[in-house]
Amino acid sequence: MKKYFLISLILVATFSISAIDFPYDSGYGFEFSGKSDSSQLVGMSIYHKIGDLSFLSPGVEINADLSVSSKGIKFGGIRLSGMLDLFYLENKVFSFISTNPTLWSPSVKVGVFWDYQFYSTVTLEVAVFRFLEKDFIYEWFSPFVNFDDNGVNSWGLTFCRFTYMCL
Amino acid sequence: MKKIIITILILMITFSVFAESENDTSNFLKDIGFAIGHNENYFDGNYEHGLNLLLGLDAGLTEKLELNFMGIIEMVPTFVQDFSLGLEFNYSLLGERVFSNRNAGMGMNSMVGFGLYCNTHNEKNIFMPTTIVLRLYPACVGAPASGKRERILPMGLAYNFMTKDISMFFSIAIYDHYIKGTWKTNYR
Repeated sequence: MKKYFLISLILVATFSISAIDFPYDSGYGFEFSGKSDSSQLVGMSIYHKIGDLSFLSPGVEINADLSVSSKGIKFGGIRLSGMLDLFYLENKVFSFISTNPTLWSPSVKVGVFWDYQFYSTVTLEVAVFRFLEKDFIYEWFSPFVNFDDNGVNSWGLTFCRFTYMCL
Repeated sequence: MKKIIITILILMITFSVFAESENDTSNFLKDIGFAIGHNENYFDGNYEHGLNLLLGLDAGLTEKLELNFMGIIEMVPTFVQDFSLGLEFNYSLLGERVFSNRNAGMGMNSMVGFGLYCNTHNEKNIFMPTTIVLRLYPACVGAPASGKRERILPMGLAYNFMTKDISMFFSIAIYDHYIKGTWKTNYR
């Protein structure tokens, strides 16, 4: 297992684009998601990139959601997570979805989620379809799972998250 | 003065563009594309509140009319347990979506759609036509010729004639990716 991990790490380090020089480290975004025990969530997020590594680059993100349903709009929850950008690859495979050239940078996010009753759970999100532009980060179809002492508390899917990098 | 006018007239005729009658073709299936987007129904007891994925196939019929074959699949809270399939005819409101000649269609448009959906939202719980929809696409950015189109914030009304329910629905966006009728395939 350790061997495979090391080989994967070397491969990622080899193919990842070095010297990523984006002009901004922070930004804010809008997101639309659905959670298994709730309704559709509409939210805002703030993202800050901590490191500037060519792979496994760290960052932090705060998300606040509103739950929208036929019954009305209510507070959906807050999430604070740390994240790692696994690698940065020139986006050849999914280049058809954007006009501008983008980098493909999957990310793993781990953090704490407080729901509308401020019940806290550990949250894990995997943003596979995450693409970077100079000023924007686009994320599509990112599944997430919230865990508590009894195992899986809830799960969901972030349909899209658009982050505008401006600071 | 007369000489100048005649010269200008001759120049205008000389440089005037001839109608490309030899390139005029039918618009039937001139453009074909795939659609992916989001769909959410409100005030409808048949839909759980969550997230629905919308997948579709777009086919151009005329300069202003297109046919969409749509599938709406529930992703959250139950994964792929409820789905609807339907056909929608969309009519462009702000000009031609494509032209018969080699010119591209309007890059910014609005559309109105009318369709029929099949699902199991009926008393017998069998898959059959149940719902008619009226959908408005307030902003469509892009065109088949450019290869991409984003239908932003489409919304509408659905009437389930089996259960006599009226509901409303909306999408954040529907993204169309064209494989035929684009500048890559048809215009160069």
